[in-house]
Amino acid sequence: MKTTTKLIVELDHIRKVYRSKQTFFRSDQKKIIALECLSMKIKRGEILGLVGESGSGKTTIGRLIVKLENPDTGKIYLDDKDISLLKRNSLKNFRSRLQMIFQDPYQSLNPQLSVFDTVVEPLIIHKIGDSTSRQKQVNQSLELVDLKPPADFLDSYPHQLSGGQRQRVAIARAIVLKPEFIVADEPTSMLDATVQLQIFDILLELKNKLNITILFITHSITAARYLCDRIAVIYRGHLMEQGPAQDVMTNPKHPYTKALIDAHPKFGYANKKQYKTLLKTQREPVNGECCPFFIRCEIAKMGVCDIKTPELKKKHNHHSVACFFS
Amino acid sequence: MTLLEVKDLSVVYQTRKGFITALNNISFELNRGNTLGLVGESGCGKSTLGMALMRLLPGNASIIKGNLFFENQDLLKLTDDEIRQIRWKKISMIFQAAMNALNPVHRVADQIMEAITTHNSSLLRESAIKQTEKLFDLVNIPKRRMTEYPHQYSGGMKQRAVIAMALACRPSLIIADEPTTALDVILQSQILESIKLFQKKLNLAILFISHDIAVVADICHDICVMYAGELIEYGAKEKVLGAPVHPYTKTLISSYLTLIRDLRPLKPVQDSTTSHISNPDLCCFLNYCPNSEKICRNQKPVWVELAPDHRVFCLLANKIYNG
Repeated sequence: MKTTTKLIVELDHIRKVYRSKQTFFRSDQKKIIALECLSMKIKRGEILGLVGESGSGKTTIGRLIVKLENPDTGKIYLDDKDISLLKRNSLKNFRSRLQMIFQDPYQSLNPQLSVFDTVVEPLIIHKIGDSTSRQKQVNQSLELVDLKPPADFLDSYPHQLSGGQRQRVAIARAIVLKPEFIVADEPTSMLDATVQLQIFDILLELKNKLNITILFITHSITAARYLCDRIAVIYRGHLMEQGPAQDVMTNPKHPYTKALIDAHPKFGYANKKQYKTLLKTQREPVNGECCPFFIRCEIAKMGVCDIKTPELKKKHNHHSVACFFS
Repeated sequence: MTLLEVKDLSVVYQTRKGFITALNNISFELNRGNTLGLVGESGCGKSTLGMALMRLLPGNASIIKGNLFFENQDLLKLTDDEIRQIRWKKISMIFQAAMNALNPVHRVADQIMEAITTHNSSLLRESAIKQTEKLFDLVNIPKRRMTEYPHQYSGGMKQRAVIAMALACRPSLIIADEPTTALDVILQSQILESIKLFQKKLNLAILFISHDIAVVADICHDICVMYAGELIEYGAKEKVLGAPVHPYTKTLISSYLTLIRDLRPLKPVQDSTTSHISNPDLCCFLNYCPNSEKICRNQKPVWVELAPDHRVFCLLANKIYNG
């Protein structure tokens, strides 16, 4: 609560590679690089939007931060402490500070647990309070996510709730421990537009009321614009552009960000392609070092983009881009 | 020329708690070569309508009223054998969640060929293969990937393969049930482009079901807005989305996030899936309507025609329209 510019999470040159399983019949291992040399900082009290298409490594970042997986190389710091060193008790304490909201509320809730049991579970695991104070905390967090009055919902089961209500229960479960940091992994991609907005407003309220830092993972660039203070655009495990939300949206520098904005259906402004970047161009992939976006980029030039990976460079005002031609 | 005419269609589901009205007096028309968008939130009956047109409703659903005229033939009066002649040959469907619509143990090309050969048993294998190749061309999948299995395809390619399958028998009507919902924006825009392209080539009529109003705005000519099983606004795209009249359409549009408009939209409606259908004789949006007046609580809404191509199911339509 003291300073708003203090870092909470820092990722330092993270690399994560997934290997396909070796079987009796197949001994060759396929490597899939999910993240490549990615560095990122998240400030306390902000909502950082992580935007990219499916398979770009967005979810992997979220999972690494809450330590559901470990990076191959690189370090992740929470308040200047390396999280890879955490063991047993300190890890449990760490988990109570970081929580996650998953994509699909139809799968992330246990169908056999009532709403009360679902939301109270983290308190039991972390041995917080007694039964009366737990009851109170559950009620509080249900009220925070707009499930009012809480008594109406405590005994219902997930199948009796609508998609929006389920996602609210999932959020209530995430905030009941009063975490400092929440990773929200596409929390609204399964929901309707009207319900989406309600969830966004709840997240905004969490940020304002409880000063929770949120990493908001999404593929919808409009959702990121609505909700986030800063936006980071990621493509195939590389950070392409990062900056204040308004800057990135109104003045995108990277051709991939421009393509994302173009691809968004512009309702009421039919066929207004702002940047004319349909990703139709397909180049032959290059072996060795090149810009990760090279094969789909329209403005890429041979001799520049196919021999070197561009580094993230600061342009102005905290807005940085990884492109030679920005 | 009218290809499909739905008249007063009502569908109910039988559940343990009694009957639930999924569709109530739905009427609309679709012309050859046109795209009609069907928007509404989840649970409003969009998919039920698509399934009713294919006569693929589950066992506990029954059509209690109405007619479905397709090429001047009432689909509801046909026997099972007769409808099988029409299904897929004349009306085909792109199902929701294309990821699961393909059979994982058969090659993609074989699955598409199966659709062709079952409806055209006299066709030789060679010409069936040729037709399949043409379909792959049409939806932009390289021919060398024809013999691969679904798991080797990416999400967008699976979606395109499912579209190819829907086109296999050269239907005149395609029902597309949320074909792009599970895809990210870049794939979505590519799929929409290819749908537009082959629609022009084949002069197809498309019934496009979606909850994403922006996608519908992009691809459709006419738009139906549904709420709680009822049609509430129907008309040309420019009218319905440009100058919406029904309070629900207005909230739906205002809750959509754009890149250009103001950041703060209006307050959205409350979660409606829990407790609508309070009184079947009154307006379905009554409990959430910001504009409701005394008359709404006493009288059933009526269709108000504001223009030849714009109808609204609201008692206050004229009042709202005139400001």
